Amino acid sequence: MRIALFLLVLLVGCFTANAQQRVQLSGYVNDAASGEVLIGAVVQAHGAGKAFHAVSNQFGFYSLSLPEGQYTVKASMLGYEVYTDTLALQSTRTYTFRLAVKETLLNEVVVTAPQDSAILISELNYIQLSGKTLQQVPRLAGEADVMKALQFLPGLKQGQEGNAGLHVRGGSPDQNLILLDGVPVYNVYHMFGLLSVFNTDAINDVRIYKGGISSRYEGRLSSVIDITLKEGDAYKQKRSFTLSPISGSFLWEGPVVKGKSSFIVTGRRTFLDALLAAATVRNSNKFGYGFHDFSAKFNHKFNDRSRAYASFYTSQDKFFLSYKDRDVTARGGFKWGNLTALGRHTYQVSPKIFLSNLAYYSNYTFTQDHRYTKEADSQSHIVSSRIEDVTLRTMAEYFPGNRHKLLGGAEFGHRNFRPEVTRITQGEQERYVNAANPARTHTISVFAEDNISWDKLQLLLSARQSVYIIEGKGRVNFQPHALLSYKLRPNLNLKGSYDRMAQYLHLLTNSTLGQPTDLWVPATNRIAPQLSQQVAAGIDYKLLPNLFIGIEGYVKEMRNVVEYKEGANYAFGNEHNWDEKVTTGRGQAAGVEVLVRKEGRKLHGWVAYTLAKSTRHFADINGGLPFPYRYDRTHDASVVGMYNVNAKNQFSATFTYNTGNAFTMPIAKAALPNMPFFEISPYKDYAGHDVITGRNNFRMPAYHRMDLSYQHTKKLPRDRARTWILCVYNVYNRLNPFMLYEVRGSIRQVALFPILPSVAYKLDF
Amino acid sequence: MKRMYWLIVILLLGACDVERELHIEGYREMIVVNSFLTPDSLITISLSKTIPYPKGDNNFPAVTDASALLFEDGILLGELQATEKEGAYRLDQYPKAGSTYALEVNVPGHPKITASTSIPSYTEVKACRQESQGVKQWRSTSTGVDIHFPVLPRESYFWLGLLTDNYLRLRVPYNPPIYRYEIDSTQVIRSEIGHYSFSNLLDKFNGWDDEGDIFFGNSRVNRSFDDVKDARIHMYYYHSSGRMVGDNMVWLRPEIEVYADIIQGSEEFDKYFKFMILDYMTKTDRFIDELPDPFAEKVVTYTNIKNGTGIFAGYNRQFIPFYNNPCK
Repeated sequence: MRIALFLLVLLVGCFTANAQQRVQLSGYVNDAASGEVLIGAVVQAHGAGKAFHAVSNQFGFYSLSLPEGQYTVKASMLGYEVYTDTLALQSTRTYTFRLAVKETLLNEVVVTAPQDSAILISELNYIQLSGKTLQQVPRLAGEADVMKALQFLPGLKQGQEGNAGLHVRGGSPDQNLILLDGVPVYNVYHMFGLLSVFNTDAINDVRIYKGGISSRYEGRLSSVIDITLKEGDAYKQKRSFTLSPISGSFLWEGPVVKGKSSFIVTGRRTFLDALLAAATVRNSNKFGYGFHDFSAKFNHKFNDRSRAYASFYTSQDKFFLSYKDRDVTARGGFKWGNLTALGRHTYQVSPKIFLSNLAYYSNYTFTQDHRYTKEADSQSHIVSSRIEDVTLRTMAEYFPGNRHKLLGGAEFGHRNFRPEVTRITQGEQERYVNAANPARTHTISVFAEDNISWDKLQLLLSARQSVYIIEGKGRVNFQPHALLSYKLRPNLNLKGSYDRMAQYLHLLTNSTLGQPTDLWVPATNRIAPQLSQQVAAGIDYKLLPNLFIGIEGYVKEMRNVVEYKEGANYAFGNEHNWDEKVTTGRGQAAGVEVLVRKEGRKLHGWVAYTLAKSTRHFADINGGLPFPYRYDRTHDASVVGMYNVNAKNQFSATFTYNTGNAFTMPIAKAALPNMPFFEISPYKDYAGHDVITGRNNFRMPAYHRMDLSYQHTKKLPRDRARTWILCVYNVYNRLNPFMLYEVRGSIRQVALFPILPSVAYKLDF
Repeated sequence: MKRMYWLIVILLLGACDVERELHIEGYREMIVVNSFLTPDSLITISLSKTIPYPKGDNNFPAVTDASALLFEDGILLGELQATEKEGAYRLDQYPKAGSTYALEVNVPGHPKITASTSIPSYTEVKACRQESQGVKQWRSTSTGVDIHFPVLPRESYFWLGLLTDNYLRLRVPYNPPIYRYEIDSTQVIRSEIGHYSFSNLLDKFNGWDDEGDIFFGNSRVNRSFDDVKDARIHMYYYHSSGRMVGDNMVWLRPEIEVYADIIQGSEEFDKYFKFMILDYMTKTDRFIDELPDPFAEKVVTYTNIKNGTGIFAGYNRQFIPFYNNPCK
């Protein structure tokens, strides 16, 4: 009922606004050389003393409603030359903008949308990273990494040293919806969280939404990270090969039918496994690790109005340890991987209506394996967890006039969860735990939004109504969003947003090591869906033509967030159901984020700072008292600078600082009482116990680090190019704490990476 | 170039896992008050001081210069006197079930330490042994027993176990810090034995097994519930000799007397025991001294001592024999 009323209000507004007769200018914005669609390009039309604006959507489509007349039309996007033309519009027509890449790397930095364009408000609430920016940020072990690059942005924090997990505005990593071409990816880490699974060579565009989130995205409490892969060059074959100290990767793209259909294939594989195998060939104790990922995408243009896309992605990690000593053999390890596949069709129904349909499958599997054999005695303990997601979505965009842009759609999702299915064998006996039928969930959602523009005032009203069904019971959640923007002065923009989100799955994560042991589980009738409300307000100010400052404050409240109970063991004890080991509670977060960015021909970059506080409150943890969230960081600052010496040579440097992670540690030891009922327990042998005064009662030392990078590109004959990428990670060798542990009466601190130089080589041909 | 590449690979692999000692500052010495009040024993408290973490050898300094006052139902009962055992203070009186107690301790150089608790009134309990033989499992036979509460009061915190008299187990160094247990056939002590039940009523009780786990359904949750009339629990225990050394069931024979061990604790008692058991579960191995398990969530210490740590809690306890009390 609520969503119906919401739609009614939107439609009335639209038809009122659409009373005047106009013509429609619509079409696509493409890269002139490759035919790649350009997402977020600004299309402007000037005529009859008026200016009109639109922004290309995620398929590169735009639509403008204009009075008949003569217009100067212009399309612009960072990194591309501005495309200008003059059109006499007497009737509705289609027009495709083909933008040429700028020869020099201008303005290729993190952007919010340009301040001086009266663009749709929905385009004001994200931060964008281009594929080129990702390539320029200094790397760990020579591997460009989208998730690591995001950690330099305000409000987005890394969990631990080397860990790609993101904590957005006091939220946990599961509260980020990470989409690869619209498909959620459940585990985005290689190498236990040191690298993300995304091959940056194939990435076209990354957008991060932290508030004022469009209802087209399914509910997650903290953010949406929308990664769009390239479609492949529609005119020319291109290949590249990259070699880093730990892996090799390739990219191959080109046309299938020139100008009509194209493909892109990427792959990456580590050779650490080969190195480790060589190093342990003569040892009875062996260990090994390997990963690979592969993606393929194909798109076909049936005509100017109809396109189809298909893509496939898979990643796999495997780690093992083995031990052999005469008659004893022991072996254990982890294996985890993602698989996604999607089909999408877009259709321009009319110059005012754009339709897209999507079907996808996403799968994440994790297996933990321990085997032990001694003579005739053999034991094994194998735990596997899986989540499968099948979703159908249809979405329509309607452009009734320039004051409104409507979007609506429906989605059906089906998920299968098989958490911690455990097979235990001893000799010929075997038994299963949690092997009963998987938890099956269904989610049915409808969503709608309206982008409303009135000169200086812009408003995004958006809502999603979802029904979540598990164990025969349904839960209904209404998730409204609002984003308001007011242009106080040409260079000063005020904005505010409100979001209410519902999340129907949880990630059970441990507080020490990341990450494959993390367990995706559904909201159940016992463990309720996570809910959040967030209010944010801020300003965007253009200080100088190439210097921008954005300040935003937020307050967020989360309900039904999940933590392991005190004493719960997440590596063992799988004989218990997962929901017996966890408890739900509340979370609160508040903070102020500042982003200052500089654009320029030579020097560009940004400075980000966040002042924040994040707490958790559970009835049966910490004696029912609130405690700091593990990744509560009072101060978090980053500086990213990139300097283009010329077209061949680029330098970049980053510095990051943040308050140390909160963690739990005893402060003292105390004598034990003589315990009734425990006279015969093993505890009677202990003289004392640790005194822990509260959950997360200590702070690790502050984290800070500087990285440097230098890239040298040389053009080679026959349209080839080679690039050397030299990086120094942790230049001044700061031993940042990764974990702490007690041994023989002292606290030891483990640092993962001291100074770490690396070199990578890339060949484009 | 090839040489440089290998150099970088070696640097990368060798760079991981750099360790160093971390100095934690901010340790503040606290007074530890330990006392359980029960109508069966004289009132005693133990006073000691904490030692810094982690550098400790479990030699906790006793507090010998304290003054301690005990109040019963708001009236001063008396001052506890130091005994010959260092750090131990005693009042030659027995506390009463159904009363509340408050403790005030003054230690020079420390703020005044206070705590309060109560001892629940006794609840009527009956127990008997089933004549028929119980189920067979794990090559063992079992005996069925019934525990009957004519009225189970609300807001009670029960702990339930089955006890028998068994030989003492000695903790013997094996390869320190690893220890093993050996049976001392010269000494008999009262020991917890394994048991199980399908009774739903057990959800309202606490218990623990010799693996250190709390069991009985949702027993980690608060114990409060409405009065239950004519509550009965049907349980089994096993006669076995086939379990591992160190297990309390060793040498248990059917004819040996078994007792229902029923503790009715105050809220403080209940919370402290849960804390202790959960804390125990975070250790890697019960045969290795107090090594923390890195995969277990740490447990925040429960204390009801203001300006100090430790426990001051009341309880009552009943042992109800089964074997010589067959069910009618």
